[in-house]
Amino acid sequence: MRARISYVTVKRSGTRAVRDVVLDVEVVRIGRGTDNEVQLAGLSVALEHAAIHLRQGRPWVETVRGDDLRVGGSVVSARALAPGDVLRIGAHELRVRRPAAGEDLALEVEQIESSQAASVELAERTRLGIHRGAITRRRLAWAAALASVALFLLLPWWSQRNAPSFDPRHPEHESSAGARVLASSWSSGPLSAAHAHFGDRCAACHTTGFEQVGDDACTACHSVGAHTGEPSHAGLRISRCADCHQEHRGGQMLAQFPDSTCSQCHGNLRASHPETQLLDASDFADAHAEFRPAILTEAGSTQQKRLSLEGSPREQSGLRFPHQKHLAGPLKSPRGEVTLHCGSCHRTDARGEIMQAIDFERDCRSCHLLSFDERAPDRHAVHGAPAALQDDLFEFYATRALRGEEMDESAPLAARRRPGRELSPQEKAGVIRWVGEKTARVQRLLLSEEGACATCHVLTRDETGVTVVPARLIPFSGSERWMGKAIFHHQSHAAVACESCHAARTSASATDVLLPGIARCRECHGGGTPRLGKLTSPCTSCHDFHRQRFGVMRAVDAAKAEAGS
Amino acid sequence: MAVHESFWSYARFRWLKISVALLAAASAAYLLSGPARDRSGDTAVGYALGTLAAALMLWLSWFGVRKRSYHAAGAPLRGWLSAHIYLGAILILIVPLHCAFQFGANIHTAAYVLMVAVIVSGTAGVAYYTAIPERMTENRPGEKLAALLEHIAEIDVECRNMAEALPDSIARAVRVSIEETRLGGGLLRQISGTDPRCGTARALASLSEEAARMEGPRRGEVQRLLEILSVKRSLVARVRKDARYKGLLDLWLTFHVPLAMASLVAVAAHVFVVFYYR
Repeated sequence: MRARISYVTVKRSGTRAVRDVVLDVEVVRIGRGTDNEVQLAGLSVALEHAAIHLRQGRPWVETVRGDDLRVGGSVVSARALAPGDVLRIGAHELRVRRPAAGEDLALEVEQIESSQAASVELAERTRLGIHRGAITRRRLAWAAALASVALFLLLPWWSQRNAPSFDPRHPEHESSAGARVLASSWSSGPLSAAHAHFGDRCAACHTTGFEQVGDDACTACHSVGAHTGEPSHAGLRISRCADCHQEHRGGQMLAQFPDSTCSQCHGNLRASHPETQLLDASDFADAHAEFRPAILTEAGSTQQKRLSLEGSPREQSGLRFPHQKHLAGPLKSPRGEVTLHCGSCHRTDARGEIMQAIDFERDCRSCHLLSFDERAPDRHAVHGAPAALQDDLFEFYATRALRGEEMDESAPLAARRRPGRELSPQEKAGVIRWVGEKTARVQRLLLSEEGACATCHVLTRDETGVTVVPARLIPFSGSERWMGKAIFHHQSHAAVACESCHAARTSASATDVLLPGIARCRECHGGGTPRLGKLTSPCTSCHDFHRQRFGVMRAVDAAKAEAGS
Repeated sequence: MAVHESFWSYARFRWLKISVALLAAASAAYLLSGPARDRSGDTAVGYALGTLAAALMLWLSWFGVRKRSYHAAGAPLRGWLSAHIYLGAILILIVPLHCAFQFGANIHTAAYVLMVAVIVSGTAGVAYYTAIPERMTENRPGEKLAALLEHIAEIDVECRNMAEALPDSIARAVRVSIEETRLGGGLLRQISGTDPRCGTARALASLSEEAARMEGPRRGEVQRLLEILSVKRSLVARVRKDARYKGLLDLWLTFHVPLAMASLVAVAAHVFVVFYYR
């Protein structure tokens, strides 16, 4: 195709200048790009806007990448061209002229108008981009940061300063709901139920900034006695109440701890305390050893040894006492027939907790009178003090003999004389000699295998004579209880018959350790995890941590018990 | 290295792997830190996770500085972005591990909520930057916005010239098209990408009514005007779509950056308060 392109320019003077370019090409490409045959300026002209080629000998225009090609005012995408047609691309007019001989296309190209003014006008009306004016991202960021400071620091601080002091008699002095929310917004979590009333009054406990809440805050209301510093748990590094009793965790109490608190050490105690004698325990239901009561292993000694019930240990308390016989039914007694039951002799302490020690005078004497002279059945031997017994017997017989009231035929005549006659010093000496012999005889009788002492006591014989082994009935002064590491509250088990745990009715010997094994407890008690049909029994059900004798905390209870007694 | 490696897969998903490993380590530390009841922000593990989270937040904020330093040495910005996205995303779980999932109506949880808002806005940013550039290219292939605007201006001039010889009603419609076609404008209008009161649309509507009533050669001229205005309408629509895309690419950052600042301050307040009221 041979095409003549005539570029028309109008000079400032108004004269028209025409510059002809003759092309010999397949296609006349029109566009903004420099590689086009017809290059047109202006951004609205695409790089390759349109193209003209011959189609059946006639020029034919079609768009390439441009989207606005007009011929004779109409928007077209392709069309045949004839002389007289006017194409419009951007601000340019391309007029089709009749081609000269030997040429296929004559095109007159002219920029007909300037859209510069319109562009400026449009630009003025156009507001693109979302950041304009005063609201810049930087300013927004500053505003957000300052709002954070105000909302999270200044306002809560101000609200706390202005919170009125606690006075339940004047609820109208409460701060407003909004102020309370602000003031308590520093709180790391809800207070426990008992402390919830403090609400936004942070300073009630948090007295000094950047310091942990001290025990003063607790002891201001709670009398806790010697609450911490328990040596066996010194490894826990407890220095403050709040080390264990952590606030701002919600809940009902600060003194509720799950078994895991204990078992994280006691589950494998040897790992942290290789020297320990304690066995591992992490759950009463399935991870707790058989009980190991403190047992007296040698009659007469106060030494106790912790022995597992598994080995059926025997207690050498020095006592001979068949529970079986005492519980068998009506017994003959000086008061007539009596029927004994557990409570006849066993009584709990003031707390209803452990059993008090058996007391001969209170629990035994009413049946075991310890009479020693058939002629004086109301005269009873002293119990529990051999020296006092000897003095008492001597005094008894001496008084009778010196008054001449002795009936014993072995006694000198002077002791059996009729009253009213003074004894000579020789007679008196004879009577006293006899009283000494009589006292020794009665004492020997009491201490014989058939005598009264041997009924209940183990006796020892050596060259110096016979001695009564003192019975050690736990708890005696200075002893550990059978279950020294735990508490057992008898009164709260009152619904259960004593014998369902203590096999006393079949026990023929005082050496029987009448404690139930752990299996018996487990019939009712589960572990720390609630289980159907079992009482949930965490470690602290039996092992009260703060018990002063074997833990830290019993000071509180002891104070209560004292106040109660 | 691939010619084009997105921030997703930078360095063979290096930062995805690091982030997942970090999250796994944090979870393990949390789960192994004693019984559930004792887990809290103020245990050793709690402090460690809190410090990690705060350090991550500060480092993530540094991205705002790093992306401006074009001559910075070290990893390319794409690497930084990859790390920024993956490490930012795991914060949403690291912080609950720090506080042992203890939330409440307090500034501590507020700081977390703000941080989540930052992460959510960042996620929007990631989504926009994944989807929009392609659509932007589709919307104006190979052309600059200025070309579209110049084309509109040229059409305006042309229409004005054509309307001069036409009746007043036609000229009025053309003036509406020229003077009342608003490009850009307020935030909502730009983000919506439409204008219910578009001058060009209104001009087209009234002109097509006029054209139906007219007869003779005038009708042809109005018809040509209609064609030209249709071109303008599509140009205007593309400009608006372009503005909408640019607006979306910009808008999330308008939330992301101020929220990030607020979140940093809130975390600072949180740290201050937990040590003030120990």
